[in-house]
Parts: sequence; C-alpha cells; structure tokens
Amino acid sequence: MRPHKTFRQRLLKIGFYFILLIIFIYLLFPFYWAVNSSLKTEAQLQMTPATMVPRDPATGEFAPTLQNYRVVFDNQQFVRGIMNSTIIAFSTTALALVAGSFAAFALGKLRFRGKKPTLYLILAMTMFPQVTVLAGLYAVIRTLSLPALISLILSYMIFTLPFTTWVLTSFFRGLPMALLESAQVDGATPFQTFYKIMLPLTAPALVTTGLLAFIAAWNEYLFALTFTSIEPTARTVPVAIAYFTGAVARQEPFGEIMAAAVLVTVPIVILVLVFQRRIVAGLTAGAVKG
Amino acid sequence: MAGLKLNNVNKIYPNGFHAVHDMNLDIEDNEFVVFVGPSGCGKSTALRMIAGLEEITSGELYIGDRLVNDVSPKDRDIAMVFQNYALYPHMTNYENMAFGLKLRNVPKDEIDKSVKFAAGILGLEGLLDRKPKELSGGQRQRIALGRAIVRNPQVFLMDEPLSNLDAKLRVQTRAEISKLHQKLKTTFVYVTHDQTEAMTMGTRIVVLKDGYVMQVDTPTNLYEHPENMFVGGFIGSPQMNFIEGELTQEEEELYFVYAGGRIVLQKEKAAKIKSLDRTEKKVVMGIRPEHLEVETIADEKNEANGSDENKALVEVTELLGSETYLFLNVENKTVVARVDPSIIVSVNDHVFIKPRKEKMHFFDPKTEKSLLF
Ligand SMILES: Nc1ncnc2c1ncn2[C@@H]1O[C@H](COP(=O)(O)OP(=O)(O)O)[C@@H](O)[C@H]1O
Ligand SMILES: [Mg+2]
Repeated sequence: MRPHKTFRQRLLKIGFYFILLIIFIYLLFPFYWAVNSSLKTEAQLQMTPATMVPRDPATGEFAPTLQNYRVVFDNQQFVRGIMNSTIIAFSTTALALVAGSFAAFALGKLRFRGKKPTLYLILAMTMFPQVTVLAGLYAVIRTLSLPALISLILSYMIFTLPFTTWVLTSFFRGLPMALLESAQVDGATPFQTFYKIMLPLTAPALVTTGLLAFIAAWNEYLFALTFTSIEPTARTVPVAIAYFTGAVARQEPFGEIMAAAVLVTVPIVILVLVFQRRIVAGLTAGAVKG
Repeated sequence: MAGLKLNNVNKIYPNGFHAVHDMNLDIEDNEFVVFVGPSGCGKSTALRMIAGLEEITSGELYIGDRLVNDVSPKDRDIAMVFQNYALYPHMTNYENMAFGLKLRNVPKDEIDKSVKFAAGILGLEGLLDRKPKELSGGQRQRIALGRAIVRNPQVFLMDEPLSNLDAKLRVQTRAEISKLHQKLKTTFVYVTHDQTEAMTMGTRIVVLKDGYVMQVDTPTNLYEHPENMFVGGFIGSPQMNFIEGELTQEEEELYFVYAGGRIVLQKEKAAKIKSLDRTEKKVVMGIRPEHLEVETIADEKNEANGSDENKALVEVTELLGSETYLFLNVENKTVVARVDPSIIVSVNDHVFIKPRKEKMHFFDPKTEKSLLF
C-alpha cells in the first residue's frame, strides 16, 4: 500500500504545481506581453507569427528597443496625464482615508442611533454600478462648473469612501473596547483616543485600504473620460493613453500604448512591494482577535 | 485620597435591563472595598459607573465631596485596571505607563520619576523598553497596575485583575496588591467573583446578587454573621450547610427539630429569636463545615445511648492531609463536615453530627433573611 500512496501524493503535488503554473501564466502573461510589445519596433510588431521576445525581422536575433519609451516620455499629454493621475489618486486616497477612518471609528466603536441603516447604506453604495450615476454626476458638475480635477477627486469618493469606511469599520470594531475605555480613564479626549490609540493600531488596514483606493483611482477610466471631455488638460493617464495617435492617420501606435501601460503599472507595483508586509497584516488582522 | 459615596444608585441599560438596584455605599478614604458576587450580578456595572464608563441612570455618586455623576472619567481622578489589562499594544511599557501623565502635560522629568517609582515598587525596571506583547501575563498585569499607580489617583478601580493569571501567580499577586494598598494609602475598589480573593484582600466586602447589595461588612463579620442565606452560602468554602426544620419550644428551651433529630439552641440565639414575635415555625439552620463536629458510633457514650438522633451516613471522605472533609447523608441531604484528620471514619460508617451551638445560623425560609440580626 505504501508505494501506491506516495505515488498518489506525488501525483497530487505535480497537479498542484501544474495548476499553480496555469494561474501564474493566466495572471502574468498579459503584463509580460505588454512589456514584450513595448520593446518592439513597428516592424517587429508586424511579424507573424508574433515573437515571444523582440527579434530582428531579418536575422532573428534578440533586438529590443527603447524607442517606444522615448516617444512616450516626449509626449506632453502622457506626462501631463501622469501628473494629473498622481494628484487625483493621492488626493482621493488621502480624503478617503481621513473621512473613512473618522466614519469607521464612529461606526465601529461609538454608540448612536441609526448606526445599522448607515452601515447598510454604505454597503449598498459599494455595489453601485458607475454608469448609473455617470449622467447625473456630469450634469451636477456642469451646473456647478467644477474644474475637472476637483470633480474627479470628488466623484472617486463615490467608490473609494464606502469601501474604506466598510473595511475600516470592521477593523475598528475588532479592537477591544477596553483599550478605548482605558484611554478614556487615562484622560484622553475622544479625538486623542482616535489618533493616539486607534489609528496606530489600524495602520495595517489603513495601508491596505489606502492602496486599494489609490489603485482604483489610478486605474479609473469611465469618469475620467467623461469629465475631462471638455477639459483635455485634466486628462488622467488612462485617458491620455487612449488618446494616443500614431504618426499616420488611423494607425494604432501599439508599441507606444504598451510602453505607456507598462509605465503606468510600475508605480502600483512599487507601492505594493513597499507595503507588502503591511498589506498581508491588514488582510489577515481582522481574522484574529487583538 | 478620598472616600466614595453612592446614594441610591441605579443602572438600567438601554435594553431595559436593570443591572444595579438602589445601591447605597459609603466608602471611607483608604479603604480596600471588594465587590463580590456571582457572574452577572452587576459588579462590573457598579465599578464602571464609579469610573464614569457607564452612565448612572439614577442616584448620586460622590468622590470625596464632589458630585461626579456628570463628570467624565478623566476628570474623576481615578485609575482603573482592566481584566484584560488593556495595555496599548503599539507603545512600549514605559509609554503605556506614561500615557496618562503625558496627556496631562506633566513635565518629562516628572513623568520619568513617576514611572521609575512605580516600576520600582512593582519590580519592572528591566521591562520598560519592551512592548506589552513581549511580557508574560503576570508582567503585563504589573504594567497595568503600574499605569494606574503612576497616575497617583484618589481612587483605584480594579475589575477582576487577577482572573487571567494561573492559580499560583494569582495568590502571589493577591498579596502584592494588598501590600500596594498599604504602601499607597489610597482608596481601592476591587471587583472579583472569587470569595477567597474578597476575604483575603478586602477591608470591607460588598456582596452583590442580581444587582442588589446583599450585605456590606468586614470579612470577619460576613463570615460570622451573614445577613441572609445567600451571603452565608457565598462566603466560605466549602459552602455553609443548610438544613430545613422547625423551631419548637419545650419549657424554657428552644429546639431546632429536623428530620434527623433535634438540637437545642444556644441561650442567646434562642432569646433573640423569641424576641422576634415570629409565629412561623419553619426555619433553615445554617452551619459551616468547620463548625459541624462529628462523633463516631464507637464513642462510649453513644454506644450506651443507642438512639438514632442526629445520625448520619458517611458517603464520601476527602483527605487533604491537614483536614478531612466528610460528605454525610442526613435524611437524604448531603451535608459537609470539616474534621480533624485524626478522626478515622470510612465510607458507609455512621456518625453523629454535633453542630457547635454558638456557630449555628437561622434563616427564614421565605425571605432567606437571618433571624439573628
Ligand atoms: N451593555 C449592556 N447592555 C445590557 N445589559 C448589560 C450590558 N452590560 C452588562 N449587562 C448585563 O448586566 C448584568 C451585570 O453585568 P456585569 O456588571 O458585567 O456583571 P458582573 O458582575 O459579572 O461583572 C448582566 O446580566 C449583563 O448581562
Ligand atoms: Mg464583570
């Protein structure tokens, strides 16, 4: 029986790694392809079959080029888009975290009437499809004649704030009540309790939710496309990329778009790597009682 | 340093639960008062009202001469030690202890002096730079105590501070807290469900049941003169035995008559009960195991006597070395006697029970109140 059993175990192990490999490829291949394409010239992109690495059409030698990146960095719209996106994403994150943590502290730790309905309302908001509010929001923004940057930051609150509030609420709720009371007896005002005791303890959750809010704002396309339609200088980077035009009319500058896509992904990857440990802590911390 | 006064204090929780009923209490300066009672009796609620963590539904609370009903916890000049310590996990132990003073803008060198002083009393000098999670349960407990000491409050409040420690450490820390009280000369209010803790630590004990104060007295008086059956049964271990019966008068003597026989009452107790003008004859006699003497059948005078009066069957014997517990069947009720280990009896022997007359308690079976009060 024994050898049979180990054989089965080995088979299971192989199956496990096989599935892991498939998932890995499934997740990473698009990004790999973007990097690959961004390093190809127009001619290399036209090659059939497409090559897994940039190759010289004639000799077949490995021949990457940074031409696309050069063009992208020279593109004023792209550079401007990066700046706009940075401003918007950081502002959105900061606002969502400040307002979200205040709300979450109240919802998670204080007693007040109408707490349950409020929570459900917030939860319902996280499920709102963006398109449904798009037209209405556009009208509001036009009427108030808000600058596009401000209107984007404010409208991004629609999806970032409920999410940060919801996640932080469950996090605050998990913190022992005695800590709050202890601080109260020690002489802390509610606000001091909030930022000297509660906030440091929720740091992992703040990082995680903040990062997710940042990514959501950074990647957002629909609102950005709509609200910058009459103010092209406010375009965020995903919109700017969509507006890339080739040297020849109707030509898709595929290599440049890919280069821009890679460049846009890099800050997110860096952020995730920097905060990696905190994120894991934030994702799991709710599971175990403090 | 200050006393504490509760005037008809009530607590009704928002869900309508009446957790504390008309609590009246006068705590003197420098007392060590223990709130004791079974789980859910309202001890924590009472303490938390003193701390200001729970609103007082009605009644008045004074700390010193000041009415503090509407004063927030931070302005009540109290410090509290919580059951789970409630140390701030992101701060070092030093910062934990210094937190309260820092919030009050006490100068740094003064904070340092206070923290070092408290650490010295509690033997925590080497641990101040660590975080709470790097300490053992007992050490965390001390940090929590230290945090309270540093504040130099008028009143120390403690809610079951020892319940998370193992038995041995609990006994040690118990003594340490008592010593601390003597050293600091401050009012302590201490909550526990453990009657041993209450008896060993308190200068006065408040026994609570279902939100009502059952009795307030010194440990000795609670033990000697319980006001009702609850206090009689709750204080002391093993529990006081309760035997149902009747009082009958025969000539000048008053007798307690129960299913197993009859026992004559001590003169003073008889006089006290007679003075009550009580028509109801039924009573419950309470006798502590240590006051229930037994005589073996083999004793000469019993042999001669030959009567079955006050006879009991030995069901279980527990030998603890220093003493022996006998679990006796008295007319199908179990009664415990604590006897000298030199008395040799075995299971299924018969013995005669002899309650010490001056230690017998009598309660009204309906009101459960003592007839000797
Ligand atoms: N916030 C609350 N709301 C309603 N009932 C409560 C609340 N807190 C405690 N109680 C109830 O009040 C009673 C006394 O509680 P507590 O003072 O914590 O008892 P203990 O003597 O065990 O410390 C319990 O029956 C408990 O269920
Ligand atoms: Mg309690």
